[in-house]
Amino acid sequence: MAKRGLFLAGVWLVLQVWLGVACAAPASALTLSTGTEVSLRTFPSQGDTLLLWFVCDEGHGANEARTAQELASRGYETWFPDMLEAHFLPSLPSSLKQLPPEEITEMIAHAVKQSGKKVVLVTSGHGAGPILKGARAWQEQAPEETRNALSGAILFNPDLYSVPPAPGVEAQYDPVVLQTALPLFIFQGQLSPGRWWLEHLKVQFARGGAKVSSMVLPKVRGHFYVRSDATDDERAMTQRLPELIQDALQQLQQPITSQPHQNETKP
Amino acid sequence: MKKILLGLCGLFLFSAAQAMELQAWSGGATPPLALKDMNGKTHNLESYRGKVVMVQFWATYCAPCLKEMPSMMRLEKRLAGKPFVILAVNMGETDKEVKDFLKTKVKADFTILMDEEAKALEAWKVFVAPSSFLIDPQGKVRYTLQGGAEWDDKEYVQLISDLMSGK
Repeated sequence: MAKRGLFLAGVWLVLQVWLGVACAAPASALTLSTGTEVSLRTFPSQGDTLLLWFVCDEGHGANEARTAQELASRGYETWFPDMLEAHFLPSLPSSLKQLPPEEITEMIAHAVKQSGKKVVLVTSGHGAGPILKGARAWQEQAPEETRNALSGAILFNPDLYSVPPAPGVEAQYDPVVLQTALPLFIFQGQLSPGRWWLEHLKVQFARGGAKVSSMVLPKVRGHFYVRSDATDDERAMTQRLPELIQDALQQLQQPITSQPHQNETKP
Repeated sequence: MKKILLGLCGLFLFSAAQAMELQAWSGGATPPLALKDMNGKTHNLESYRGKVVMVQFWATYCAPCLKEMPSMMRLEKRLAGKPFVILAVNMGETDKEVKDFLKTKVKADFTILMDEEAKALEAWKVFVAPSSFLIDPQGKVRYTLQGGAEWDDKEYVQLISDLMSGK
């Protein structure tokens, strides 16, 4: 009997912990002018910076949520708009490239207006293209007094090829690379061929006027924090996400230098 | 319903990913390749004129590379004695990382070349692991393939045989 009581108490405790994580962020729905209904999960905080994070795992991935909770305790607010589910897209990194940039623009406008905070975009892989296009469109239409509210983007393993690169052929980048005038921070997994093309991409960004910093993350593959087959090193790096993002945010806020791509941070 | 639709989309994408084919080479001249193997011996692609060469770029962290290596060994065995050679270029890892991999994961018996500074990767414009190039006896790249393959499938064996016979 005592054992059964202990078992039930254990189940209750696990449920409380799970519910505590699952319910930590209030969710709301937002209907965009395109008619798309986007559920929005928010992790409020008192600080003056808001992360608008476009994820590839239905917007409530445990690792991103844990990261957002930790960042909230450090004063950074995070919003997760669930754009993939809104468009019936599978929860795959490659689905992010199908996000309509005009909806990103509207999400940025909503975040700026509702929060009154500095907004930093976060995404990974193929999300970089539509997110940067959305950002550029927002910059073009934003009133002068709010234009600085969009203060940068953090890109994990960005895939910005305009067509899938063929072996032996010069890669072609999405034109948005040369049109981005935002402070950027790129995290690139060391265990990824993209690592060897990072400097090439940074040079292209810098040509367009973006201030780019980067960090190669040792012993991890791309999308390490959403992998079901994550290695011990990848799990350990996932635990470090709050600290990595906080460092990136601090670098994004540094003044623009004349040689923007010199801020390479080695692993 | 949404979940079912998402699942179906995922299944479709997975199927599409399986259907990778050799592509005709669309780059320019064959890039240079001169690298050391695991024993420190330098291999120069030019010295393999007269043979069909499969130059493959791979990494220890790449699951499709690990999966296709046994088929590469079977392919080399099947074409033993014929003018065919595999040069598997490691993508920027250390000697120790590769040796540990060969001890614990796959005991590859084809030639592995080390490209620690990723210079060859840059010259050959490799963006995905694995990426393979088939080079004809005249030293010209004829086909490429991004992603893993079962290299001892009869279509690949036939194509390599055709290249060896000058087709």
